[in-house]
Amino acid sequence: MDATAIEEMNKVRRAMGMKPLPVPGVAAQKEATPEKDDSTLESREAQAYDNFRKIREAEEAKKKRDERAAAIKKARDKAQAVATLDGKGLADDDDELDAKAWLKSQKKRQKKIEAAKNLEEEKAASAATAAEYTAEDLAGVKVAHNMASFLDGDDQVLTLKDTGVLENEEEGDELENVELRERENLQERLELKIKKPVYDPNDIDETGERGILSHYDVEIDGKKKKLFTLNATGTSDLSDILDGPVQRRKNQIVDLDVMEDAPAPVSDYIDPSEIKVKKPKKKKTKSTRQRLADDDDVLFPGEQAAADGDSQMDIDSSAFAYTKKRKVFDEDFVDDDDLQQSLAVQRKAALKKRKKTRPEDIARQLREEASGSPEPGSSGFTGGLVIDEISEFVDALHAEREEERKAPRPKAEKAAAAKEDASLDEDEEMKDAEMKQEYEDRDTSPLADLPATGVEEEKTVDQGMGATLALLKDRHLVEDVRGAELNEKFRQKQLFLAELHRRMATFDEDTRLQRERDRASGRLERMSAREVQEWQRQQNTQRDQHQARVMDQLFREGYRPTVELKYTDADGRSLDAKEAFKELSHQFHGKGSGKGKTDKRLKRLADEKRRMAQSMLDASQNVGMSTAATHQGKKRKEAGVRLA
Amino acid sequence: MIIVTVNDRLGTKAQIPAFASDRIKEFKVMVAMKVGREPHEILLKRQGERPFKDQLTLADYGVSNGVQLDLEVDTGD
Repeated sequence: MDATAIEEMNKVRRAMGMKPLPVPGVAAQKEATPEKDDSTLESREAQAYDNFRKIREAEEAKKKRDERAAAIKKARDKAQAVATLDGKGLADDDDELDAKAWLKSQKKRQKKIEAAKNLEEEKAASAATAAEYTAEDLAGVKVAHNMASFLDGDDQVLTLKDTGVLENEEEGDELENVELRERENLQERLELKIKKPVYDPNDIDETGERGILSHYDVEIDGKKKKLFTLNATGTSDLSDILDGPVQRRKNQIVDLDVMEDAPAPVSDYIDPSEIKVKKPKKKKTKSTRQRLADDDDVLFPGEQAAADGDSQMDIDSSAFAYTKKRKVFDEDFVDDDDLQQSLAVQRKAALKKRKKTRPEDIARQLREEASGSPEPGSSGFTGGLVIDEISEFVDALHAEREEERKAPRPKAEKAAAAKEDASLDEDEEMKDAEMKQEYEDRDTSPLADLPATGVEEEKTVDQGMGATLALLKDRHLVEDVRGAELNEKFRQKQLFLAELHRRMATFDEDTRLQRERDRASGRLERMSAREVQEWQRQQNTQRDQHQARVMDQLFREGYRPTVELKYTDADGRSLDAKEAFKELSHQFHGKGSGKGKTDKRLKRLADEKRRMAQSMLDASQNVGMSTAATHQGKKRKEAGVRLA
Repeated sequence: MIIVTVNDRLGTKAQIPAFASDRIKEFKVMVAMKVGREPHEILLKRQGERPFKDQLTLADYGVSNGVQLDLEVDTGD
């Protein structure tokens, strides 16, 4: 940045009222004057820098000071350590006692140690003697339990009974086992719960010492405490042990210590360790082998028994082979043994129930068959479907429809009409020849072809148009849509047309004749060309009028228009009213049926096509002949297929 | 005093002396003087950042000596 550029910039800045930039050349003296004001950001920043520097300096100074103080302290500590080491040590205290004196005093010290040892030994001995605590120490101590309760158990821990001080003074120490005490309390409580009769006649006191109203004794005297006192040898009352007043000797002594050594009382029962119980034989492992034996049992009971009785020699070879086979099978299915066993039992039962076929029976059967004398009851021919004349006839009846049943009347009419027609007109006869042939065929053929069975033979296509038509009609492929009526209409129409043509022809003839007549009469020659023209036109209009009148009458009389709306779809199928409506509707709205409906329709069409192509004698469907037969078969519950 | 480089990445590059305490608005006037475009048509920003606002100073945007700013045309929106 050169000075001129900055000068230029400064001009702008000054114009905007901003602080001018410092120009490099002039900067020196400007910088010299310290800016004291802190109005601008720059000066504040500068101050901040100053402050920061000051703080840093102060920190540094403080750090230095601390360091110095630490150094001083270190030096002082060092000096102190040296000073303490200067003093007299602990070992230096006995310095005045020399080795000789120490040796002298050694003897005295030895004696002191000896004496201390002796004293200690004595103390230990006395303590040991004091610690030995025998049955004698326990003499006179009461035990607050029945003696009997100690007999059964093993080691019992007795503790001093927890009593008050005064009670203790009166009664002296009492020993008791906490667990036993608790058990006794529980027993008492349970007994209280049982409702006992006050007087129990069965409870006879053998001693005879029975007080009056003895059951109140407890309430009067308080509970009798079961106590025994240990004496020097640690004994107590025998009656306590026996739990009964059999022998009431006072102060009988039982030595507890002796009791410990004494052999256990012989029990009335045999010791469990002596008893030899026969162990049940080890449960046989449910091996396949075991069950194989079972199966063999089932299948060949007699043989198995024999085999058991003798050695294995007798086993039939076939049976053996069978066993082997079974083994292989069973090894795979050993998982559910219980199930297998139960099944085996069931099988056994079933087999027993079943009549056994013995070889003799089989032999007899074979002989019978060979002799060729079957039993009278069994018929040789039972299965299959028999198609006889009756079923065929019924089939044919079934196929007949209602409109066919009505057929005879129109047919008769038709025949009459045909005859009439034949006499009516030559030309028409020619035209209708084909059609008439057809009718004749139809009329005559059923009668002609009627076989002896009364059932119509099926037509074939090679017999002619009529036969073909009959065939199609039989199969309902061509519907009989009031053929006679249609034919009548058609004939009417043809008649009308013929009449029309005839009239036209006569008109033409008339016209021609008249013209010739006019020409011959010489009438035209007398007229001028113009007059001739005029006259001819007049004649023409007259003729036309006459013609129109006649035609009008003819149309009024004979013209019967047949109006038929025929709709076909894209494939050329003719549609009925409903379908046609749908088609038109679809065309109008520009959209067809959905997928489902279309599919349905296509399926229906396909079905129709298939039905047309189906064989007449196809037994699988209900077509033509087979219906009656199948129905009958179903009724008789016979399965069968017609083979043709 | 700091020197700020203004570059529009299309061939125009100018070095402008200013104080860091200058407002962006004032700085734009000086840029306008250098590049020859109206101050209100000038938009300054650091590369890849949002445009500078007129009320703030260069120091607020941390513009120091030798910093390059992008110069764009301010269409007012």
